[in-house]
Amino acid sequence: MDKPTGDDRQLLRRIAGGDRQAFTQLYVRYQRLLFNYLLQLTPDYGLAEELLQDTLVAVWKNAGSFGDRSSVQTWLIGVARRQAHNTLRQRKIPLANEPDRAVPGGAVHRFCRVLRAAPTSPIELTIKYGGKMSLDRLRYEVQLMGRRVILTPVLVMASFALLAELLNYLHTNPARTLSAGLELILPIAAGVVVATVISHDPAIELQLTLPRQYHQTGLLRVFLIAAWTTCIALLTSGIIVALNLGFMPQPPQTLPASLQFLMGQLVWLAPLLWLSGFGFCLALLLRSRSASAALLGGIWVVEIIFKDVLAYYAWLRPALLFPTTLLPLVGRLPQVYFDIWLDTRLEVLATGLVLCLIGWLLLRNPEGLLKGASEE
Amino acid sequence: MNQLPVFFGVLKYEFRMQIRRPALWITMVLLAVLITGAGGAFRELLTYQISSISLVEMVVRWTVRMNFIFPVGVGVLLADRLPRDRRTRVEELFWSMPGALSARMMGKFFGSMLAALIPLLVFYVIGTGCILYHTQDLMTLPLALAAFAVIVLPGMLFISAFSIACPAILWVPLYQFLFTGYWFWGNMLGPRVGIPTLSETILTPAGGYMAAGFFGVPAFQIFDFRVTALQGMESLSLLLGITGLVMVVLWCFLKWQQARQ
Repeated sequence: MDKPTGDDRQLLRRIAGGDRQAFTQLYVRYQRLLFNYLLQLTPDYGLAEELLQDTLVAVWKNAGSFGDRSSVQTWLIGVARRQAHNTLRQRKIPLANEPDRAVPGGAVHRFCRVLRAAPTSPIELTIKYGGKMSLDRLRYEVQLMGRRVILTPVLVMASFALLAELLNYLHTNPARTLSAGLELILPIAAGVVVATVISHDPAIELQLTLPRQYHQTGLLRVFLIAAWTTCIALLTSGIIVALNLGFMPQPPQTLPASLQFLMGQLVWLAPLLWLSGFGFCLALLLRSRSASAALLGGIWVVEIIFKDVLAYYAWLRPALLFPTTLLPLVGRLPQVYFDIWLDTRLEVLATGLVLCLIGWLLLRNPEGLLKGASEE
Repeated sequence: MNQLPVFFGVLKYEFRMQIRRPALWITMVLLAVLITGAGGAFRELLTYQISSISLVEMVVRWTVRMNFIFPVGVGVLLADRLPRDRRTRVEELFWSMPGALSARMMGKFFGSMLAALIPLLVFYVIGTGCILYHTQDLMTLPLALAAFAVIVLPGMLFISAFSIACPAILWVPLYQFLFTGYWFWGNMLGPRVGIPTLSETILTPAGGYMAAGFFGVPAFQIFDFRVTALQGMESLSLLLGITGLVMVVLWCFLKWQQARQ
């Protein structure tokens, strides 16, 4: 950024002649400044990234029109502002806190001085903006993933509630069906959604050029999906317990009620973590949404068909995902059955955590992410 | 305009696009590893006591195995074919071309489905080869061909039609996991659980009625040995009829969508 202006002008002339290397140099020099400027015009992190991309495309196309009347920095800020104005006007989004436009050159220079002193690394930004920045990021990520990610677990459990109502009408106890919704269906839904979100990011090239680390972004997305599914599952579980429709091994009555309730959550928590972690790993290994979803589906069906085999061999039990619904208490003492059940839940939980850790390590390979982006 | 060249052109294009997809081969190979227990099923085919099991039963059991989890793979892999046109922004380009929508739609349906069946067919042929080697009976070949045609194909056509059509209105991942759930619910869920299911009706695409009705080998939830060939035919016709109906509904929907734009 502190390079002499003459050097920047030379770069623009080379860009006008189609020199990609010059464009890369200009980009490295100014992307942070432009991005921070765009963030002043819109608080939407994703939109600012999109505007930065539009600005760079416009610079590439119009570098020949740079007329030496201002500094390169002022010209670039002007291009960014025009792009922002056009896009925001088209989308009917109001402009936020635009820097003083009365004296463009001077104001831009003053603004740039402030920006140079502003924090730029993710850590500095977090320190500076604290909770507000984190909330903005969370809101941005949720917006980016879309309403469908939010609605999917809600729709799943709403459908099961309707099915339970129907069964009740048919004089069939809906307890096992509701357990199936929580234990079998909600985790596979979360797994497929995780695989979909992780294996495809429409702005992956841009994401990898931003100062923040992409593996943090990926992990944040997985966390958000798992956390939202957890909220829905907890709510449903609470309702099931309140309606006395629980379908799980009976914990020892000597335990406090709250601990009994928490243990009951292992019904869905263990397979949720396992299938989310598995979907996370598959998405990063296969780089394909469809292949990941198909294999998750295949594993899910195999888990159901070969449940007895999985339960029989001790070394396969860390992958026994659905014992509560599929292998209910038959010919065993309740306490013995509960102990076996609890052991397998903890084992599944532990393997789920290992899968998440493997996924996180796989996410630290940005080249692989770029390669996968073009293969679907 | 003669629509046959359009149909075959699209079929060829979709077939090639799908068959060159690494995701297809990776998925099917891994599903094959899962369903054979890492190759254990082949060993089983080579060690059957020939005196204790008939050739028909051996072939049909092997054919039925194709319908455990492969349909999940096929259904999920076909689900993104229609939305892909929209995502890659070629949909409007296709609409502006002279070929009829119906010919393009059917070309897409058959092309992508046939390609998805190729890995499955390779796997099936390997198993059939094992049976042939073990029994040394040439009747294995026509029997395997007939079993594949009446047990596997109708169900595959049925699920492929839904997998092509449903994502026109549903989010692809939502369809994918709903479809996985459906496959279990509509084919493998026993009546003892108490949940109403289609797995015992002739609308089960896993092929239980065809296996029991045509070959006398019970499969999936169809344990009844009294199932007749007529019931097998009913199940087969119903599956094919619904496949056609789904494609007609999809055609109407896409026409309506086209007219709105």
